[in-house]
Amino acid sequence: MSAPHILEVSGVSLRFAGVRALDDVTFHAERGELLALIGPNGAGKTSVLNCISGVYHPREGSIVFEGRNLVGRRPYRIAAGGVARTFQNLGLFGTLDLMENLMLGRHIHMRSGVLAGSIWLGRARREEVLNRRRCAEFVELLDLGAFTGRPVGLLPYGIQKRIEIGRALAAEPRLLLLDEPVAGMTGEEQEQTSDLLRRIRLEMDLTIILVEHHMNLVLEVADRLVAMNFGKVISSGRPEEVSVHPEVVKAYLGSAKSEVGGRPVLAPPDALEG
Amino acid sequence: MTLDGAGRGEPRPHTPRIERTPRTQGFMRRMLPSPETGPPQPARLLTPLLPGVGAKVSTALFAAGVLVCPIFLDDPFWITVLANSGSFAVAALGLSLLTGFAGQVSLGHAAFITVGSYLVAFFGARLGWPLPAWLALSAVVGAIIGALVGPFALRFKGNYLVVVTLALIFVVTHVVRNWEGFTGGFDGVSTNKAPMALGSVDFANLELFGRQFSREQGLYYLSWILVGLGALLLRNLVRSRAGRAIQAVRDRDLAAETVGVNVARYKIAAFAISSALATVAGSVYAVGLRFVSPREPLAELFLSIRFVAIIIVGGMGTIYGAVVGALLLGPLPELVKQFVEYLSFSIPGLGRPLVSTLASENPLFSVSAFSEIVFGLLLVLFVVFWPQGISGMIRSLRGRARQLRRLGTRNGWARGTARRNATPGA
Amino acid sequence: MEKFFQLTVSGVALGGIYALVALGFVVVYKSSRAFNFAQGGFVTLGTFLVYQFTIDWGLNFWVSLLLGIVSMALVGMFLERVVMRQMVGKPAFAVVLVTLGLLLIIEQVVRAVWTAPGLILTVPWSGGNTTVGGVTFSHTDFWTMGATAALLVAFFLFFGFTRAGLGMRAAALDQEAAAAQGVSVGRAFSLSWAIAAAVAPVAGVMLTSRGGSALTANIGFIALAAFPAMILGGLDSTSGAVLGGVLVGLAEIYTQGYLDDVAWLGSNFEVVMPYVMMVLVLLWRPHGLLGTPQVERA
Repeated sequence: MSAPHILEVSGVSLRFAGVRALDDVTFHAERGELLALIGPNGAGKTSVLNCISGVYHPREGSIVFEGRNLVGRRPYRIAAGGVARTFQNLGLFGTLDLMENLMLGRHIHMRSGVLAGSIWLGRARREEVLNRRRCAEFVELLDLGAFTGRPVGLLPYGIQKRIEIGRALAAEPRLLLLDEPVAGMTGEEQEQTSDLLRRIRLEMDLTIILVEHHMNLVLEVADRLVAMNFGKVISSGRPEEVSVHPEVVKAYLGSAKSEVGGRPVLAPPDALEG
Repeated sequence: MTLDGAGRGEPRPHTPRIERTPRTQGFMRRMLPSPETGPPQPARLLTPLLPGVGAKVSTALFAAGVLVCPIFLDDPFWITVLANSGSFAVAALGLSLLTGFAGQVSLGHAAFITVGSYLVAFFGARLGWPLPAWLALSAVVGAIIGALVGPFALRFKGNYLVVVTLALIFVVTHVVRNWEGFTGGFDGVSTNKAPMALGSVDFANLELFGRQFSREQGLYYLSWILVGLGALLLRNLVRSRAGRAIQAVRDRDLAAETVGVNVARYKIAAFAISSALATVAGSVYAVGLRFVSPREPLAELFLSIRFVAIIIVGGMGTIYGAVVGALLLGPLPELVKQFVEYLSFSIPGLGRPLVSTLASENPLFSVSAFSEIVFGLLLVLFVVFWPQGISGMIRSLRGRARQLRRLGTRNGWARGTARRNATPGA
Repeated sequence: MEKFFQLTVSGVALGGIYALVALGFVVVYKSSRAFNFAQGGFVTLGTFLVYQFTIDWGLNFWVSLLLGIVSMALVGMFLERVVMRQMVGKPAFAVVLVTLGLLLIIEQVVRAVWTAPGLILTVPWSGGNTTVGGVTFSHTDFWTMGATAALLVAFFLFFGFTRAGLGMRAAALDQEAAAAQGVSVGRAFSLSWAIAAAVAPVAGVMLTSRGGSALTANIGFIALAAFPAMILGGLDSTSGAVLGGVLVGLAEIYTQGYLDDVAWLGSNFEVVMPYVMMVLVLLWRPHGLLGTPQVERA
């Protein structure tokens, strides 16, 4: 008897104005693993993340996280249930500073409402102190100490990407969804991010779903891969199996193929603009 | 707000690297940082009420000034002007929360002033409810109406919302004209008898520092106490969990929702608080005016625009901006009236004075029309040139002055070129 | 039943005027994404200019109307060039504030210049009724409908077939691509403001003739009903503006005509009606009847 998977996505289909964005997508994530979703542009990877985090509501199928179906729930409820995410093109609150962004990550762990906040005594204040301490630890973990006190929208792109991961981590989620965390980053920054991912997994008890184009990163950090094309899952399993699966190779040959350092770099770094 | 692509590809020397060896083993398990690691830069565990010494000193000076002002100023006209500015500041604080912090544009703010005016006229002046009761009633009724508008703000965004809030003006104006039993219809209604006593402190007959104060002075204190209270509550709100959530919705509503912010709740809350403040302000303002009568919808729209001008000129997204803006722009019509002789010069070739209080002089502008033109001009000028408000304007003018001075010193050209060579690209 | 017909004709006529004002809005909105509150002010200013030309200076009515149209087009271009051009690329919210400021200024300037009370702007078609089968129609309504229809056709022809019109549509769709194709985006903006301002005196004159020719600065207020018309039809849809205009006109006239039956709504409810209807329609279709659904950021 196997333990139930932490996340079970089954038969999820999604349509936009008649176009099938997702078609019977089924996969699962095991507790504590890092699962990477790969596939060419437009394969539906981000749509999967949007379905899990409640941004999209799939018409068919179920997404069961820790025994509860997430389909149809509002995003903020899903977040409160322990799912955090980042966005492909940054979802930071640009006019707020680093600490405020991280504290918003901890929104779900705090209770005080509008009235308590306005009066600012007792619980609202205590809660603030406790959670700021916690956020300060994340600032240290992510080595962001040099970037406090300024609107994050003014910070360099790579730093913003890292702050967004920090905000998701500050929520102390049990499921973390990362949408192209290294897109648009320099090589050095990419290395830092993969280091960070490894450290997170060492120190935190969480399951990660990673959507990424950079196969270097994926092959370095992922436990398992799910490959998608045209809204369908075409292969899933261990990285060495999936990356040589004929359909996966074919899907990627459609876009580009090159060899860097002996490893297949299946997709070119996307020309993504924030 | 993302940076443009320039320079993204280059390595940035100031970017600190993540350490390869974990420094904080098992950091997730601890709630409190141990003394040896401690939080690094952001040692601050609460956003201070007033950041920086400058803000503390200037706020203290300002508060002291507000407090002692009536002692030196007993001219009823000026005290009333300042009391009205206080009421405007309270309403502007509300709009500042809604527009500056929650990012929702509203042209319905004047409607709440109107609602507050009639509430105090009926419950205060007519039924004789005590001051705390009619203030509380205004706050509650304002919050409820505001909360009813909130859901529309969820459905509509941007320009659509602007026109929907305009509907509020029409509805309120219509109710005022037709519900004569409550509002007195076109004849209007007096607010003169509204009780102004808070326990043993009667603002209509105030004794302070061993002095006897007039009704105007009492009203001045009442409205500025409300300004202080409102500013304090708002400042607390924006540095707390709920206030951060409100700002997150403004910056990126989808992202806010995915970090667990119930966007609906906070948008509605922002509308409710903002409307409550405006309604309370309307009540106090009406007591100062002693009389309420219905305004045309267009006049209501202009009043709403006036509040927008106040928060823009004061500086959007700041709390002090609402107060500064209200002080600068709130008393504008009264100022124009007071100094009308400087503005009543005859326009060459037209033979009409620019502004006059007397219609018989056939002035180009009445006092209120002239002030509205000034509001409009200020609104356009500030949005186009100094969107950060008066502080941004001062900064930019200072920069301009510095440039001019530098140009002046450039006469010794060697010095100018030397500086230019020393700071390439500056 | 006769009353119903009468009201319907009157409502369509009024709706046509709203449609004209709303079209001015939509043209500006489509070309530059600017939500132009000053349009109400354009109506006021344009009407008083026509008054100035024909009554004060004694020019022929049609010449005056033409002069009014031309001078308003110039005013529109001037404001676009001097003020709105500064706002390109600024947040939509800031643009709205600037046009609100302009509205305030224009309305007060008009009130300042034309102060005398009880101004009358007579139009060639004022007065006169025709009775067909027991139903009385006012000539004003016919003139209004005819003029509006002609202008609407001109509008659609302009945007569908002329080089300038097509250029404006291209600029509205994609500024960079349009610029690459040799369309001057700046000129498209200017032209859109000119058109929006130019239709204003026509709408204003017709509104005045409906109201018994008495000229008041409250025309701007009446033109406020064009906001719901435009929103109702969909901000970015020209046919939506026409549809919205007619619906709002009908709703207003029916409310006025049958208000005795629903007296509990209070007198003058027809002023509120356009807004009530707009809110109801928006709750059902958040982007208006014919507008394009899109995510808008304030």
